[in-house]
Amino acid sequence: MPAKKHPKIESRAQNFARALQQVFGRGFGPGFWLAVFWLAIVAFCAMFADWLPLRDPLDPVIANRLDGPLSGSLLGADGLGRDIFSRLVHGARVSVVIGLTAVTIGMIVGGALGIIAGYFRGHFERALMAVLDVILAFPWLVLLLALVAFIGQSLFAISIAIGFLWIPAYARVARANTLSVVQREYVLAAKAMGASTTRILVREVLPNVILPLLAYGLVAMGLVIIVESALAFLGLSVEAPQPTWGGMISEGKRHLATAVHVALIPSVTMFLTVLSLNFVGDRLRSRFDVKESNL
Amino acid sequence: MTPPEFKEQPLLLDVRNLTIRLNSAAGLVHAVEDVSFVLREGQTLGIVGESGSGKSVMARSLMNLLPRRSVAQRQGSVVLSGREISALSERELQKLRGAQVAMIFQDPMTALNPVLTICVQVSEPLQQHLGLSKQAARQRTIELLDAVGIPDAANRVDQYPHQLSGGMRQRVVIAIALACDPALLIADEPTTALDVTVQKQILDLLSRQQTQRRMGMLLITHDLGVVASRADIIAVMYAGRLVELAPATTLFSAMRHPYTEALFNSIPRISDPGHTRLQAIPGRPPQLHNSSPGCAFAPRCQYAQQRCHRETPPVVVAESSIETAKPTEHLHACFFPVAKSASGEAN
Repeated sequence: MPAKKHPKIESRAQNFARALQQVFGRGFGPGFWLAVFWLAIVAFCAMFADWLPLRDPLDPVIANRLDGPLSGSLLGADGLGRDIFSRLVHGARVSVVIGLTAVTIGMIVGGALGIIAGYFRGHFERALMAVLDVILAFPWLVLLLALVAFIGQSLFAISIAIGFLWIPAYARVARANTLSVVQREYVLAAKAMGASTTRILVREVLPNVILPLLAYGLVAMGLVIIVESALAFLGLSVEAPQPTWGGMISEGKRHLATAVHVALIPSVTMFLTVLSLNFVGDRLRSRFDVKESNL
Repeated sequence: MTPPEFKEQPLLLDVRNLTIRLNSAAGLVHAVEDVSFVLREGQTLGIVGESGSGKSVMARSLMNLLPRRSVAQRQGSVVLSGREISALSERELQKLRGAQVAMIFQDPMTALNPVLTICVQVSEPLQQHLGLSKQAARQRTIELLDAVGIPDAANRVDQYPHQLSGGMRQRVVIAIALACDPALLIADEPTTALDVTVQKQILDLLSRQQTQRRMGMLLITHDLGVVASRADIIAVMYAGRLVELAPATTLFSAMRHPYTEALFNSIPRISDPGHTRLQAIPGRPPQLHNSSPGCAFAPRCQYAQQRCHRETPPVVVAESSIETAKPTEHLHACFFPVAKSASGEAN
C-alpha cells in the first residue's frame, strides 16, 4: 500500500489499542454490551447507594406492607413495608463487595500457588494438588458453614471464607495454563538470555497466565454471588438488618402465595447479574482462546 | 577455505567427550554420545544431522539449559573461554547466558512472548547484562532492530509479536540474541520454520552480523546446503555421535563417512533433469534407547559389512586426506570410509 504516506511515529497508546483490536477483533455484539451495561448499573449502585435519593432501606412503613410494584414506590415494599428498590440497591453492595474480594483472594492465592506448582513441578506440585483435591472433594456448603461459624459473619469474614473456597479452582486453572506456557520456546529463550527464575515467572509466565485467570474471574464472580446468597438464604451471611439479595429472597419466600414480587424481584436481579457476568466472562474467554490459536 | 589466521585465534569453545543421557518414559535416551570439537573465535561450526540426531540437546546442554530433571547423566567437559561450564553455579551461568552466549531458536512464532512488546523483549537483556537505563536501552533497541534489517524500527519497537511476519520475528529474535554482543551465538535451526524465500535473507543476515562482530557461531541445521557456504568447519552428527568433522571445503571434496555421502546425495540438484528421483536415505534414524554395539548407521548403510554391526567405530583421523587439508583436521568414525570426492558443486 504505497498510498499510505510514511507514518509519523505512533504513540505507545495507539499501538496498544491497535494491537488489542488485531487480537480481539472488533465488536462483541449487542448482547455483550447489554450485559456490560447491566453490570455497570449494578457496580454504580454498589458504590453510590448511600448517596442516591432513595428511601431508607431499613425503614419499615407498615402502611406500605407488601405493596405491589408501581403502587406508590417503584418496586413495592416487602413484608415489613421496607422499600424493595432501595433494598436492592443497597444489597448490590454486599454482592459486589463479596464477589470482588472473594474472587481476588482466590485469584491471588490460588493463582500464585498454581503458577509455582506448574513451574517447579516435583514434590511441591504433588502435595499441593493432593491438598486441593481434598478441599474440592469436601462438600462446600458444610465447609463454608464451618468457616463462617469460626471466623464470624462480617462482610470481610464472609469474603475470606468464600475466597478460600475458590483457591483450588484458581490453582488448577493457573497450573494448567502455566504448564502449557512453560513449554513455549520464549521461556527457554528467556532462560538462554540469562533471565533468573523470578524474572521468568513474573515477566514470561504471569502475563500469559493472567488473562485466562481474569476471564475466569468474571464467571467465578457470578458463582460467588450465588454462594453468598445461598448463605444469606440460610441466614448465615451478613447480619440481619443489612439488606442482601439472598436475604431478601429468603424473607420473600414467606409471602410467595400472596405477594410473589417480594421474592421474585431480587431473584430476577440476581439472575440478570449472574447471567451478565457469565456472558461477559465467557465472551472474553473465547476471545482469549482465539488469540492463542492465532499465535 | 579456512583462512590460516584461525589457527592463531584463541579457543572459544572446547567440548570434550560430551555425553548426555536423558530420562524418558521408555528408559534412558542416549541423546549425545562422546562428542568432541573445538571452535575458535570468529569461526562458524555447522552441525548437520537428521531430526533426532541429538543436535539440539547438544546445543542446549552447552549452556546447561536442559531441564535438570530430565538429564540422567552428563559427562565430559564444555570449556567456554577458559571456564568450565559444569563447574559454574546457576547464578554465574545466568550472567554468562545472553552476555557471552546467546541462542536463536527454531520457531520465531513461539520464541517471542506474545504479551510483551518488542521493545521490552529486546531491551530486557540490555538492562540486565549491560545495566543500561530504560531510555538508553530503548534507543539501543531501535538501533539493533535497524541493524537486523527491520524497516521503520522506531515504529516497530512498540508493536507486539503477532503484528510481525515470521521473517520479521526471526529478525527480532536475532536482535535479542545480538543485544549484548555475545562471543558465541548458537543458532538452532534458525531457518527451518521460515518460508524458503526468507531463509536466505536470515542466513545472510546472520553471516553478516557474525563477521561484523567477530562472533563464534554454532549453526545447527538438517540441511547440508545451508552450512555448505557459511560454515568454516562442518560436523555431521548421527544418532548422538559425531560421525565426521572437517573443514567445509575438505568435507565436500573428500567426504569419508557413508552417512555424509548419503546426506549430500539427498540434496536435490537444479541441474538434474526433470522427474529425477530424489535420493532418500532408506530406513529411519534409530531409536536412541539402547546402545547396541555396532555403527548406528550400519542398518541403513549401503557399504555396511559384518564388522560394522559388531563394533562401534571410533573417531579417527582421516588417512591420506587430499593434499589441501591438514590431516589432523579431518575426523570420521567409519571402518570403511568412502573415498569418493563429491565432484565439486557444493552450492
